[in-house]
Amino acid sequence: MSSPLTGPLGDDLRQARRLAWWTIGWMISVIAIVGATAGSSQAMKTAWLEDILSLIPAVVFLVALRQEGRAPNERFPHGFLRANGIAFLVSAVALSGMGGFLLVESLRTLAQREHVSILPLAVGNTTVWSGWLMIGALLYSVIPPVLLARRKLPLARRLQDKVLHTDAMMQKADWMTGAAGAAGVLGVGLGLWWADALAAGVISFSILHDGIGALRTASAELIDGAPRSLDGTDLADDARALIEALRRDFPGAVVRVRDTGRYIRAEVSEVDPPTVLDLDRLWPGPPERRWRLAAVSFVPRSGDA
Amino acid sequence: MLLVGASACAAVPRDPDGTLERVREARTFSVGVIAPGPHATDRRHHEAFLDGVSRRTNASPAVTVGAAERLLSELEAGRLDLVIGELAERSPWREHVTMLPPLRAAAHGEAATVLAVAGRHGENAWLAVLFDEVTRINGAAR
Repeated sequence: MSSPLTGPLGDDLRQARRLAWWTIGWMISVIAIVGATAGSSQAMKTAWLEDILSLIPAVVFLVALRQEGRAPNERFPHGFLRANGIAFLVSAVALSGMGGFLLVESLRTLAQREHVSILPLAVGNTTVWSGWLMIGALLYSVIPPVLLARRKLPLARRLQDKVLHTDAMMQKADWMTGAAGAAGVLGVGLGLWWADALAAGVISFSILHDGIGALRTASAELIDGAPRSLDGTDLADDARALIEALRRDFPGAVVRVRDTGRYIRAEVSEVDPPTVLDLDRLWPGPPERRWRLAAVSFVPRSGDA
Repeated sequence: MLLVGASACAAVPRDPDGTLERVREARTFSVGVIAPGPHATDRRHHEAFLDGVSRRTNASPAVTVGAAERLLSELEAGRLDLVIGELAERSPWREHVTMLPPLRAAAHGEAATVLAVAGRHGENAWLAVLFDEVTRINGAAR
């Protein structure tokens, strides 16, 4: 298979690649600013670690995209389409890890009744409470993920790219933790020592929900499970329709479908293969997503071999 | 709107356990002074610092002199408002109490010690008063 960037998905993939690079650049600036203002605040250090973690999906997306276009060879005769699946698993682990880390940190802070000290900062002849700088840094950290997530989600749907979708979920997690962090620092400033940890704890459930869902889907893909939808663990609509179409065209056949990265492969057994198979006619989904169906293979009837 | 915003900003930070409010109302704050060790220098810095905090809060210090361990434990438990004295620069007590920038750094061979001021974790309004006074004294000393 040629580079995916030159195929029908080329424009969208190039845009996704640009967004991934923007994510890396912007998040590095966020990491630098949050790191510089973190001081001794554990909440800020946690936000900083999360920002570092949030680079993972964008990085693995770029690596997988590069791998996906490599030609099959003797050692990898099926090509590298499933690099996307590996990247998806890595991203899902990162997202789940972020949710878990946030939950453990907030529970620990609440259990130990940890009171955060935020000291002022000497600026010339005056002093400024450094919480204001932290709030500024955290609010800045919210802007890039909001903008990037809004642009990544429709692309991920068009490309059926679960890595990009998980990356968008990671950006959602990022802006939510940034906003919660800013509210938390303000809460600490108002004498509510528990505000930061409580906000982070509540948000960690939403992140964990997204992360564990992605982890289940990524695991299903690795064990050749039927293709799952982009934003849940149910079977994908187009995969379900394809199974029905194949059963209709080949009555009595056993039909199995699976994901190879963003593509679907189907296996039909217990029937005689047709001499010609028109995949364009067979594809039950919208024509612009016909590319999803990479191959239909036939297995001889039992005992025929 | 601006006035409301400005007054809200001025009210931040506050103390979860109300140390600064209590000090201002009771007009006294409890200080643990670490008993001088073999390298102790004169006490002018202590006195200037405590005088400055008194002026800022309109309260008087109630001083207890003792060993660092006992005083810092009492500070952590909330029975003292601040501790001042010579401490190792990398004291493990940093985990338990908040160390402000040192009033004066002093190195004695390999065991670097500083004239440290410590307050309770999270009492951010009170810590801000202590920080302002440390900054003033260190600025004046330059």
